[in-house]
Amino acid sequence: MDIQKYYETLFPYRQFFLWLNHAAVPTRDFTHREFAFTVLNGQGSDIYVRYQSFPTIETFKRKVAMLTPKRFEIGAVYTAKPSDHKLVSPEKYVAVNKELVFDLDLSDYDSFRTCCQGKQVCLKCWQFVVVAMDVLGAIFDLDFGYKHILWAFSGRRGVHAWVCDTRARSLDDSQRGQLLNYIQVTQKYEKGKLVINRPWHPSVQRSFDICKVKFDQIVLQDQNPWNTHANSSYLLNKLKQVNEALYAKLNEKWQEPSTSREKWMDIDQTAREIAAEGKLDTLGAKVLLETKQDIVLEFLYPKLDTNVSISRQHLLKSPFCVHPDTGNVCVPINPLTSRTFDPTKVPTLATLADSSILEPYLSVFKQFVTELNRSEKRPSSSLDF
Amino acid sequence: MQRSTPTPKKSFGSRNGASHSEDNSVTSSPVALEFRAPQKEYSYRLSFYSDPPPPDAEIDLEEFQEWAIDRVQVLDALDSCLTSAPSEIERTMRPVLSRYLPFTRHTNIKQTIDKELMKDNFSHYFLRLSFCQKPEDRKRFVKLETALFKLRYNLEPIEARAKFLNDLNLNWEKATPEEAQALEQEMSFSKLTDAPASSGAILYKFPMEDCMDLLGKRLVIVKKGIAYVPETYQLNLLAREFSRSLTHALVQLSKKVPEFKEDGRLDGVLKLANEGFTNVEEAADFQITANTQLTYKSLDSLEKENHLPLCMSRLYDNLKKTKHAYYSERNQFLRFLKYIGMPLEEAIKLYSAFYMDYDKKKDIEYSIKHWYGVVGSRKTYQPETCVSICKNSEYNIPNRASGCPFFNCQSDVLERLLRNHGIQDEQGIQEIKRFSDENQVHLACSKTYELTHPKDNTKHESVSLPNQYFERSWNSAIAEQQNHQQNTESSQTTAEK
Repeated sequence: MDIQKYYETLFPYRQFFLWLNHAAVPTRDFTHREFAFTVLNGQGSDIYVRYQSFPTIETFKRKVAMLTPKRFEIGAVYTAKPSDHKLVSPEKYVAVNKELVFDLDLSDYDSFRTCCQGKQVCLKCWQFVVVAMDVLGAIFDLDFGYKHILWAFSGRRGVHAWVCDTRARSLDDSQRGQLLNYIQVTQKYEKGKLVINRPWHPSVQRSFDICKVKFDQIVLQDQNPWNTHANSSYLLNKLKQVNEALYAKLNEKWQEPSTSREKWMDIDQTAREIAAEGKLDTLGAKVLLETKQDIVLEFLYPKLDTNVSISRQHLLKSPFCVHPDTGNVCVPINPLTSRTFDPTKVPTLATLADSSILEPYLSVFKQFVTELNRSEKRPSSSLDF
Repeated sequence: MQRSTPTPKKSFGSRNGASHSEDNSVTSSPVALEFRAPQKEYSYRLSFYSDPPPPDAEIDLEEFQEWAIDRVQVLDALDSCLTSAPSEIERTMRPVLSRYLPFTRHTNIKQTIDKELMKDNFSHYFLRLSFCQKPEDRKRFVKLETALFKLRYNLEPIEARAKFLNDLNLNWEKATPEEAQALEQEMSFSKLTDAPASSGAILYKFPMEDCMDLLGKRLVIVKKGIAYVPETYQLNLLAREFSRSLTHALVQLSKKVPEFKEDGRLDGVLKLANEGFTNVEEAADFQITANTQLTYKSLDSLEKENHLPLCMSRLYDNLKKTKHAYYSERNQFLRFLKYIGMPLEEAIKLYSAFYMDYDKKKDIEYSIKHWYGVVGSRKTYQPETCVSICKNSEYNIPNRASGCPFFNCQSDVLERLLRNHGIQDEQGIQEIKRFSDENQVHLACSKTYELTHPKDNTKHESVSLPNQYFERSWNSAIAEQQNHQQNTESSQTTAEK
């Protein structure tokens, strides 16, 4: 199927409109919303068209049909129509509302995955995304009380989260920044060592518990990052900072080939041995435990592109766009079945000849939108702020 | 600021304000300051500044300006130590406060107390005038006044705080004993809270949106969007109320500024916001250093001649070596390059010459243009200071070449960098490593400068932004060159004689 036909016949305009508008008739949430299109010019290079806004979904649809964009992005709701942004003074053109969005990309896991690098993705490394979704999902729900989270495949090697609760949409940039500070656990390093306050905040503890359960399968077995002595320098360096004797012993032992899982087991075993020799005290044992915990978090804790989340002005690719390079449709991910989602088997332009394969994704989206709109208790005069 | 003309006593709000019409004279300013009558006595040393100076208060113009400047001194001093630990801030600020905004303790002389309280209140209101006009000034003023409020709150005796709090009448919702008990175990996460939590201390309930600063530091428990705030953080909550009401007042006031701008006597105070406050995260109005336009190829010789600070030389070497640059690495380097005088086209050439990832080239070009302010928001980015470089967690991710090497490198890595940088002095290297261990990055960097610039005998303050390092090095090279020329010339003249 060609892309023009996809946008003409399959893209779910009605639900898309209800999702962003939060009501059946156009409100400012739609009319003052910024859209941006990436279109191909005559010379074969991309042009990025920002500051687009539309009075109705029909006009939006016409524009899409006219431009046949390679992709389009969704931005914030402003105090004036984005298409008028040059007509009003800058202080009258301010972002006021925007879904709280998160962008997670597997290329940020490159130093932690062995199966793929860069743009590649497979079911093995996709499990990093699955854990990240679990961790973030728990934070959104249990901590922040957010109920309306749309997860969408970003088209190649990552996932987007759109938190659509009214409370989340009205956060300002500095609040978003603080929220990200709360969520981000593995971003602060001092002299190469992860800094997390201990005892842990209960939320960090819960996230750790989620990661720890998956560590054996995802890291030790599937990724097997320390399969040779040369590959184990990351681990050895960490241990060296804990205890020289432990390091020396393991460094020697790991000259012999062994798997990552065996090495991970070796740590505790060898620690017990050198403790028996009086070379590791209780404090050292505690530091060792903490180091191992840090490693689990470093591998599996969600790695987010924070700028996308913090600035309301930032635009993010819309769900149901077609990824220009892969042809994948950026389908929503059903949170109930996220664990079985396979990024290599999503509908693509090529497979969409049978349009029914898009059905399950459309119904996930429709259900999400319906629930979101049911929860929006907007006054009837919703045309005004 | 001029203090020369002796002026007659000026009366706030009196109607004999000489030739000025009532609307645009100083005399009307109390109205603009949301004047509320009747005058309340200043009963606390702590204040939310909800009462503007009374309309019949009299003050010398000279005193008026002096008080305003004194308060700026206090805020300025506070600004430069804001990132230190609270105890450190207290230590630095005590002498500053007693000099410029004293609160004499153990005195019964009512006049002294009154005068001190009056100075505090008046000077605060004067500065509101000056700082209300631009959003960034408002933000800065609120930040510093809030910090001052917190500082003073901590300096007050407990009884005074309690009385102040009580009279503020804030209706904060408390968690029920059942809720508090249910959270007790989880509360033990924080060292600050474990003592009171077990003895049934008070927990306040707030929508999490109202205490995002505590949330961001993970100091509170949050459940389903409700933050449970231990009493320990009462001050944070108070500070939040303080900034909120001050921000609101400033915005209201800004709408009225044009009215009293016409009174020339206030000029000095109105301009205060543009002076002082040096320790900001962007070096405002930094001028491009090298007048000759640099090409990207000249970077090699700049590096060889030790003009690049360690952070930038690391970024440059890394780009050459890895043929790749992360977003953070590019940002940091580009903001530097722009201000050492590298034109946009050269910056683009630099990355296209070295960058391998062909696919991303267009993105990179866009981001270079962005930092040069020619596309997108077209903001003029100023060079970054060392403080903001160290604070930026994105810069300090491990295995990146960005950030400050004295701040984020383990000592063996740092040592290697220093040696590559051409430093051989063993003792010097040890000293730099020690500074780095203590996070005294400015000293470490200054020492590096010293070791790589043995000929520069000028006394310098410690380095506070990479571009300043470059500027110093560059100017010193020019000075040396000129010196050299002069010497040759003079020897030539001698020869001619």
